[in-house]
Amino acid sequence: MNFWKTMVNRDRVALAAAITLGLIAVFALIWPFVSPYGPREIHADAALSGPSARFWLGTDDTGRDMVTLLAHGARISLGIAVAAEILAVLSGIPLAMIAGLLGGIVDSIIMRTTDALLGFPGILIGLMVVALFGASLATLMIAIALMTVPYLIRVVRNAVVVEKERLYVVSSTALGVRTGTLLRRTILPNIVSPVIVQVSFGLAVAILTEASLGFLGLSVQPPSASWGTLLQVGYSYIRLTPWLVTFPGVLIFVSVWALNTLGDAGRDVLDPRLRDTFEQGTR
Amino acid sequence: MRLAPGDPVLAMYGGQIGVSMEELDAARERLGYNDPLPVQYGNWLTDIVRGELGNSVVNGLPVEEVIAEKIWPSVQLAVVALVMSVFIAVPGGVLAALRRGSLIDRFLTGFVSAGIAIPQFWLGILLVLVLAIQFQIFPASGYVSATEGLGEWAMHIALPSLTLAITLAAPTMRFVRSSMLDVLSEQFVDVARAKGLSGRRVIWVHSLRNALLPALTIVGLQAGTLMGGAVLIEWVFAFPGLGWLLVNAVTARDYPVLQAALLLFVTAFLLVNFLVEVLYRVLDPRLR
Repeated sequence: MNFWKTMVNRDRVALAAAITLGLIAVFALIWPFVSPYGPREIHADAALSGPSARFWLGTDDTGRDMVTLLAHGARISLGIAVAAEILAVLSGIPLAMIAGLLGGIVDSIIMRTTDALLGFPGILIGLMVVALFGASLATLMIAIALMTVPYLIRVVRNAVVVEKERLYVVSSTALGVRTGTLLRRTILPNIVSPVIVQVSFGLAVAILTEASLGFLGLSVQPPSASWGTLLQVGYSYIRLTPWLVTFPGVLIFVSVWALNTLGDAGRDVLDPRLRDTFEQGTR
Repeated sequence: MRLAPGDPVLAMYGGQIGVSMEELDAARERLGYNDPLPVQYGNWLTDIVRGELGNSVVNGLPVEEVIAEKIWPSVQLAVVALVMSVFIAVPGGVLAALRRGSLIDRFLTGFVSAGIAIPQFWLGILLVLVLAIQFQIFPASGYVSATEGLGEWAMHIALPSLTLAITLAAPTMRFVRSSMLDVLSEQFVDVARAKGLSGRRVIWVHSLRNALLPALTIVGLQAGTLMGGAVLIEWVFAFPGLGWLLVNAVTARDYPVLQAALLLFVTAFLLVNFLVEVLYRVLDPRLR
């Protein structure tokens, strides 16, 4: 896609971020197939052992291989993040388009609700949803989607408000193009880029949220392990085996940094005026 | 109107109590959990107005007692962390703006992107690893009230507030830097210099005052989110504040405490936002 090309050419930090994300994705996809150990394979003789030739990053408290757990954890953590963002996009874009096109009271209702959600501390939304429906994959996705969808709605709605005044939209309407077609064919392609940027930030928030809830024991339950739950286990053995809490944290940190950096770079390309305001990294 | 997001959710908690499995039917009946949802919610609202929040399911103590003893530590943590973050962010941002493109600017910009991406509680864990376990400078967890000894209090609050301060300072520093850059390029700065004012006075008095306004919004928002944002940090450091109480209430399904704590969070959050708005108007006469 042209948008990404421009971005990566202009920004070497963004390129590094993209490569990092690619590596993590490849690790999550490939490692479970080449790993000598299964994600539930217990080596009781080697529980809580340190990094070694046999277990590169050591083992957890039940004696499972950490590298394998991290790869499966990546599948769960990133899977939840991607699913939540899909949910956010599928629910947010139609709402935002309706708000932007119709205006008036519908717009007010949707946007005031978004404002309220935006202002509210994210972790509290997560805790409330989990407290209401219990900790499960579906709950997590809903909670995370709820936290990221307001940003998406705001960006898309503002884009629609701008686009709908443009000559090409006005003339399409004058030619008798139906609203539905208009939305899909003419407006949607013009708001794809800001949506991609927003999704990039949203994925970062999603990973952080899953990690936070997992750390509190409110994400997937054992023996399944996400990056967040691995942190929880690691923290309870922090005095014995400090590396257990370090490795999952590094992966979360690096993924979130990469997604934020890509989002920033994308925003720079879309709106060069913002470039200075949000300049990041060494350039 | 702004209270809207809290109320329906709190209303639904009434429903969750009805289906919670560990509750015996008799207890449900006695506590009114078998009543229809709107009735439960209505009862809850009238109780609140009367100042009755009920008793904790876990230890039977009145909810207001349970919460009251947790408020003070949380407020202290929030205030110390915010003050620390401002003292990191403002000089850092100004310095980065003045030495734009220099090594120190790059270092501080790197600090900002790392500070934004790092999971707050993981930073806390790392600090525990290094400063509490490796070097044993600070205690790893807990809270000692200031009346029991100022030194102990400072030692216990140092790590959690430092963790919060670092992550809070990152976005603030970014804003101070960019608004400082904006202000420095404005005409009145040149005028002030032309009038013969010293460079230091131009920067620290004339420019900074204008540059701080946008940053104030960020700090205000942070103060608001800190009401809930400290949840994870309090959990990491076993710091007995509101956030810690909230997580415990979620895991123990202590609904009376949960409801009251959430209500308090929402109220505090709205109050802080309101105060920031007022402060903003006081500091920027143009908005009046």
